[in-house]
Amino acid sequence: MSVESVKLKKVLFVDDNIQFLEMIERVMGEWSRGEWQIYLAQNSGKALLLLQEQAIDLVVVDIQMPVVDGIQFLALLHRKYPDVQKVTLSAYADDASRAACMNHGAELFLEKPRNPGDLEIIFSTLREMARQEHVATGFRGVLRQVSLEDVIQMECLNKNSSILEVAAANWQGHIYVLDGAIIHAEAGDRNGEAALNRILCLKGGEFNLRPFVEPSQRTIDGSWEFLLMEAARVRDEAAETAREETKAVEAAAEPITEIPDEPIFAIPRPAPPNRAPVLPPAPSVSVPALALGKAARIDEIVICTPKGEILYEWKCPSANDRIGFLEFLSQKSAQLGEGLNLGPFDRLEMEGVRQRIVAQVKSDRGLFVRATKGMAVQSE
Amino acid sequence: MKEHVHGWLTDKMKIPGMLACGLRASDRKTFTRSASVQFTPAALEYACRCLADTFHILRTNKFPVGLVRWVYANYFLYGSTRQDGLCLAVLTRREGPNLEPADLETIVAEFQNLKD
Repeated sequence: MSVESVKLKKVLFVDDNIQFLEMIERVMGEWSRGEWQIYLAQNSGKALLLLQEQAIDLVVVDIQMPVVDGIQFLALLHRKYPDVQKVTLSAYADDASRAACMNHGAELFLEKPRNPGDLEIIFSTLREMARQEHVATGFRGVLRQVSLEDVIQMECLNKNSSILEVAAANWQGHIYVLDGAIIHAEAGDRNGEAALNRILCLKGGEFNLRPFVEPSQRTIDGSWEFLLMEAARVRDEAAETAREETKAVEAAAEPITEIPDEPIFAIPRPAPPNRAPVLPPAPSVSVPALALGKAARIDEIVICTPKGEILYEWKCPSANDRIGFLEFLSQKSAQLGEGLNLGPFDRLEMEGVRQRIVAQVKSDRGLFVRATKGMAVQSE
Repeated sequence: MKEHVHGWLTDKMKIPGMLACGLRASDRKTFTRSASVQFTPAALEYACRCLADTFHILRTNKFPVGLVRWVYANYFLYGSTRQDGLCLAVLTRREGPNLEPADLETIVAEFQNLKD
């Protein structure tokens, strides 16, 4: 077993229930084995005093509190201490509370523990959060409609060192920038400029700028301006070729089969974003088969936004539980992928004796599908 | 966790396509094996804990599944669990020299019958 040196973290629990706070202090104090300094506050006033006195790393707030409730306190906290990590605990995890907490800066919305097992999971989750190093400078945010060329240009002009990780539809590539120069690119089985051009030909996807790590090889040494121009030329040529091929196919009047960007599920089109359940006819849905598994008949579907708002549900007995599971999956898949350097997460497949479940968390949605096995045969 | 269980897991690393594997008992004791420095013992221990948490959450939601597969861009992380809480984690590549389904089936079957 490895021993990690971990900096002492200051964790503040805010809850009007003194018994709960005492139990948390006792149990989590023991489990954290000296990694945490635990502070307790029975109301928001005491919590704010502690926040002034101590450099708190993580605040865990019960959202059902008298006078100033947890959500009001959270909003105040987020305005005054935007850099402090915030987690909410609630005995009643309804959609409205969850959305309100996320909107007011909570990074996690957890249900209050009902048994020791729940408490252990909460502790594990909080410990992982507390261990994440806080970035003291720079901005966090969302870039929309940004091109990869813009990102690369920014990194090169600033003479930065980084790895631009790009992912799109079960595919990923990496561009290594060292002191403002592109030194290596890899995409699937390609390396060097071929990989760079392939990545820059993508029409859309997701990117992540990660700290620089020396690649296994250096395959590019040209100036970044030339490389970007060359990539633009290759992309234009490819687009022109594609247009000509399309014209040729249309001229031959051949039927064209549209291939979706992410061929994961053939699911009914999501309903407009409201809570009214829509009951389509029993869908014939193909689920990616788990190892040793076969295709199945769908029993329930839930699709939600990253904030846990339901976009679509079908025959789901407990959408809140499913959303809670997707939130759990979102955290764990990110932490697992980062720890083992596994690349972008796609989905979790679960196989029981009679049923199969597939859960997927993407940047724009969460999906939960449960199916009964043995209806048909289909391989992945 | 007894020595023969460690031996069994170490033996499984000889199977082609096995990148790393681990066992986590209900008392949280974890034993891991890896074929690469990329997969550190700490990261593998954490993976085993994630698997145990996943099975726990699934049981809480009344989904008693016995086998899970985390699908990442380049890797599969398989997990299996037993009635006594022992969890198995197996990491393999998604493409290229990966673990044969028959080998995985054998590993899981052996794991289910392994005497701790």
